Amino acid sequence: MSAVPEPTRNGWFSLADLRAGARAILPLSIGAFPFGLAYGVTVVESSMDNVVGWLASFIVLAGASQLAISDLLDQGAPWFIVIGTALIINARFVMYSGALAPAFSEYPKHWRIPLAHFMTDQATVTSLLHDQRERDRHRRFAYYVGAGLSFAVAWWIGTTIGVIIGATIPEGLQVGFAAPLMFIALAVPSIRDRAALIAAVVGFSVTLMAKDAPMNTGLLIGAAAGIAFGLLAKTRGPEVRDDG
Amino acid sequence: MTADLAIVLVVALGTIAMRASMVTLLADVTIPPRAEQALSLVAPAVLAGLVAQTLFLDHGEPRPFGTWYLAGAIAAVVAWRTRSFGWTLLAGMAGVWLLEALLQA
Repeated sequence: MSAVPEPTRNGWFSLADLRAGARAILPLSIGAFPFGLAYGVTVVESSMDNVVGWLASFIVLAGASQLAISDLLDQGAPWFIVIGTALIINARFVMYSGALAPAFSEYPKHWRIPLAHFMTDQATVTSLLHDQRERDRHRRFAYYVGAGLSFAVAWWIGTTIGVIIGATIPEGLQVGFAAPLMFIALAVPSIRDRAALIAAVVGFSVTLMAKDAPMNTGLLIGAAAGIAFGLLAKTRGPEVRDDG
Repeated sequence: MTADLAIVLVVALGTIAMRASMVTLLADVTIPPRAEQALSLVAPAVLAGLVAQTLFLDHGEPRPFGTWYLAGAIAAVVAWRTRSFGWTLLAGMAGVWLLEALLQA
């Protein structure tokens, strides 16, 4: 315990901020429940091993990539396409990691690495919104941990129930719709400027156009095209903005 | 089972590496501006592609027009107007249930 840094004015780790983070993310945690159920159903109905699909919720903890893995395995995609697609989907975490770095900076590495695991879209967005009002890095970190842990628990409960009762969930509940719905809920707020809008529109259109691309590479092609066109817009943006 | 497990393990390791990357390294390294711009476009490009795959396609084939499209449009409008996950999810699920009920009535 001698390696523990000195407490700051606000304490080294504030339980009040931990609770505040958990409270702020609560609506999203509730949303994780139908999404978790939908994922569980997807796993049960796919050819993916049920136990491995359930385990993925704990060790991958990223719904979009988990759905993609299950979907691609079911379609018989080769292993390198499954891994490549999942890792491309999760590449956004590098950006999130950069954005959250200040909140982590006061803590030792043996804290940072395991707690970075809870860096979901939802926990990141919730924490970054809060960071605009909170300057203290210890308090930011506690808030992030509260948001990240509580959201993860909701995801684990949802997917566990989904895998167990997946086959018996009535179709009328439309839990399958929770997956595209969560992506809509995440995609729309991620469009903050013109370049992001172009990236989204191109990513969307090219993914659809590339639906018959070999080895299920449609999403990879779509995402790469979206990023490329978005970057072009960022380069040219200031010049054309006056004309628009 | 073994093949699935190996794939999930590799993805898990790669994902924790990406999540931990900047929170452990950023103190010493600065990301080039161009890379930072590309990273900032990953979320909209990938998430929009995921909407295409899960809403407009069904196992790789175009999904027939129906309640999912309409409820998806409602959710998108609510997301755009409110920027709230809670309201978006609520509007989307309520939308799909109502539309299904209306169509069956």
